[in-house]
Amino acid sequence: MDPVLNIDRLTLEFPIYGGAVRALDAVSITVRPGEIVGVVGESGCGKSVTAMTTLRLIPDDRYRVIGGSITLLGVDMLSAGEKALATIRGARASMIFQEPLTALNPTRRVGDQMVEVIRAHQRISAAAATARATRLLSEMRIADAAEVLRRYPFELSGGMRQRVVIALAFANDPAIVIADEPTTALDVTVQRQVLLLLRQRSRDVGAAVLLITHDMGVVSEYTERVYVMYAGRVVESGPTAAVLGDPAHPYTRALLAGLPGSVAPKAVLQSIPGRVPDLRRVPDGCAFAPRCGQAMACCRQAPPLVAIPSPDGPVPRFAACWLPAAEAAS
Amino acid sequence: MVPVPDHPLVADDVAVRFPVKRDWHGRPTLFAHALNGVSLTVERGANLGIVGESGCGKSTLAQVLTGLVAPSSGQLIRGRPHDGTRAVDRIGIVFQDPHASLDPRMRVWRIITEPVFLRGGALKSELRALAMELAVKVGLRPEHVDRFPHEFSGGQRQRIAIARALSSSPDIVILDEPTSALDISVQAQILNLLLELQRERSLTYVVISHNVAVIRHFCDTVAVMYLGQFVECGPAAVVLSNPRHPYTRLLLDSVAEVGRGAAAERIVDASELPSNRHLPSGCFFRDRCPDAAPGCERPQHLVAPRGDAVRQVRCHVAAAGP
Amino acid sequence: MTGLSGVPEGVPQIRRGIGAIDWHRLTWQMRRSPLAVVGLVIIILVLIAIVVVPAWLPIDPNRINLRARLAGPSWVHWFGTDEVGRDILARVLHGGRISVGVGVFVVVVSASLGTMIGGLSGILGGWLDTLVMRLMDVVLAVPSLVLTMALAAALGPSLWNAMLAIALVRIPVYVRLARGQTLVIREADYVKAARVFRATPLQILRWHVAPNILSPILVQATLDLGAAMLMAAALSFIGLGAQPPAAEWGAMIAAGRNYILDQWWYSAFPGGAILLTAVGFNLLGDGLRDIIDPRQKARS
Repeated sequence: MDPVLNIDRLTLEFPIYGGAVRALDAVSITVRPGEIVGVVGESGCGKSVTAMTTLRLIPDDRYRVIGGSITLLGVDMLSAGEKALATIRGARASMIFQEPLTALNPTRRVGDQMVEVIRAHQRISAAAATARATRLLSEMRIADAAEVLRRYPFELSGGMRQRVVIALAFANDPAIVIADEPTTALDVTVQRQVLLLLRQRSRDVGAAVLLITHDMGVVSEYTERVYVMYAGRVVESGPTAAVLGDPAHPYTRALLAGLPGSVAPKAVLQSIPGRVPDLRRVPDGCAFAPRCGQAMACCRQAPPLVAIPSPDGPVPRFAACWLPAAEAAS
Repeated sequence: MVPVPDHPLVADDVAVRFPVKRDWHGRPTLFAHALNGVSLTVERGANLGIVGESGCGKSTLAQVLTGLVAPSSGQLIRGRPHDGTRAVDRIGIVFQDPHASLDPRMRVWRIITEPVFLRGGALKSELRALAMELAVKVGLRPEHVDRFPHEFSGGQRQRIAIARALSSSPDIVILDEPTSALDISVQAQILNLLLELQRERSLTYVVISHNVAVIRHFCDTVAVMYLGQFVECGPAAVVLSNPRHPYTRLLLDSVAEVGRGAAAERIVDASELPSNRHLPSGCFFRDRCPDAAPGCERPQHLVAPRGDAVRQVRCHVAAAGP
Repeated sequence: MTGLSGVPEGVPQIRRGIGAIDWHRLTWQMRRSPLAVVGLVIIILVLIAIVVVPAWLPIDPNRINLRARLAGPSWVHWFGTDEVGRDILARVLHGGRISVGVGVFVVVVSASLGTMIGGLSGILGGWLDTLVMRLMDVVLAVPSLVLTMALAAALGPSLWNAMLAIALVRIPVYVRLARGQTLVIREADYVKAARVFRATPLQILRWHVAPNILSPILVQATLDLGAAMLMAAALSFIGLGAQPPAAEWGAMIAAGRNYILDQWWYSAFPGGAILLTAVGFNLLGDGLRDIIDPRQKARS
């Protein structure tokens, strides 16, 4: 089956004072129909930029594409015109942001907004659209959907708003939903509700989900495949359980070892020395090499994306590191 | 008044309510009940963790402990320091967001030494020397003290905030979500630093967080808050590995953690935190509780469950035993 | 994280920092805000024209030459002459010193007083705050030109009194701005931290609020320079400001209005000078606002 989203070696820069920030460097991400794919990394790694550029949500004059392509549902997003973008956004592909308030118009009732979004992409009557909105909300386990439709966004709690936003994202039977830190602003108990509902809805309608997060726990419990990003590059990818259970890239390993649960209470956590490279001057070769305990001489050259043999299935695993390459050779 | 042997900080049945609506005389007619009877004792050297979700009152509790908010009822007792300094100087604080907690227009040495400067009487050269010493202590370079906060990364700024909290040589440092705004790798560095400083300077931390993993890693005792009350408290290792109160169980179940595999399909709980404008009668958690039983309509008190003397739960069902 | 402004994570944001102005960054920002550069260039040219040029201009602005009364623009008198043959170019340039000087004086006085009152009011709160703000509301409720005229008339017509009147009437703008900013900063975490360390309200005002509200005040002051100048010109126009024979743009327009149909240059050149300078200050102020607070631009 054709992938719904195929980002191929995308390289992107933001011109800034005194140079350019290389936000993405040859990033390749593939999402197949119905799949829940995580993109995880620390702030500044490029995960949000990936989400935003996929739907071309960053103003055109802010960035420069150096190379690569984005194919979303068969459309070349980097060359698509406004009209093509308008049809694809909100209908076949939709987006969920971290802060639900930014996605909802504070001055209009929830129902009016939902009806508008539905009717923008479907030729149905207002009454039919209202009925659909009610059904969408009840599918998000909102008990009195009709009542919520009459409310303004500020009258709803954060968790409720995010459920409305997710309902909205599924309003026009999307093939893919891009969720950028959808639960970061929410409490853990609400986070669980929202993520479970997101997963359930995507399974019900067969939509793929690209889940952008910084939370390893969320990746672990809610995604099937994961891309780990560092300094604008994908450093490791593969089935979530395999990547988190037996990470191949030293960065992924270090991230997991730094979680407080990984050692005895009050013991010293493994931390990564140094800091994330300045994206204006990323070192040649592996971007993680200066902080990597296992760096070798060859790390000064850009490491290849090595296939990691994974015993538990046909889903391929990759890591951008010389170590597994060296191991494979020896 | 409870007797205070040598506890640096004791809260006795503290309640805080904020007026949210007033009549035309300016008299409050509606209150937000942020804290509803919280008693705690900070023991020297034993880190206390306070865990709960937003709206549970943990931030208000932090403000009460630091003296920013006065209790509406109940009292806060600060132990008298032995060396004759003012008791209020013995509390430091580190906030969640290091981008908001450092004045963008101040140089780092001024930020770090602000508590000492405000006390008065210190020379500029002394303050600078102190700032450099503390900067090195928290892992910055001495020359960093002449820079402005925006020249630092999030983790470095949190180090500056920690140095500031240390500059008045406190006994207790309140950590209000100390690592929530930081990346994972930086979080590990900051947690390591805090524990190292504790060993070095005999500090006691009160950690306020929604992050169970951080509390588990960091704290000796833990109190779980719900709607302005402690619902379960005791040794962190016991409470967080074997919760008794149904809310603690819900909370721990909800946390997404690496290594637990895909989340179970079951939606644990679709209800939400009740408003703190009108407190529920009886047990505050009753409406969301899977174990609700007759007796829950009565107000609940913190009691030690049968056969489990180390902890206390505010639930008569849990207290009656498994 | 990516904000609504579309600036992605990892891109260094524009820092606010009077204490740490990065001139290179500032010029880079200026390039992206061409109107601000236009404003800056206008202001620099105007300042050179009124400060430097009159020093070696051969013509005395008050020299009467009755043989050249009301002469049109020529190579001798570029801007023409007035009814007693005084050179209008010389008078416009000299008058600019008064007009722009008035603007600067008014803004400095009203901005510093207003900021102090607003800051104190915001940080102390309580009944004092209520009192101050109601007082400011009263002042703001009266049309500012009318109030300024009334004040200036009550004080007696002179340039000095006109300046005082304008300054007094403009104070509430700064009080409100400073108070609003103070209320925001009062809730900032760094102020909370200072309060934990037992800072008094005045210490907070001095060490945290004042440095942080400086840039919005500066922007407002730049925008106000033009307005204050216009107000001074208006007062002079109706005879409450600069008195003859002083060259002042507003007074010159007033004098020229009798000749406006036949001798257009008499009013047009001082009028044009006012327009140009006011536009310059406004463009610069708008540009500064965009640079100092890019969020405001995104909102509008």
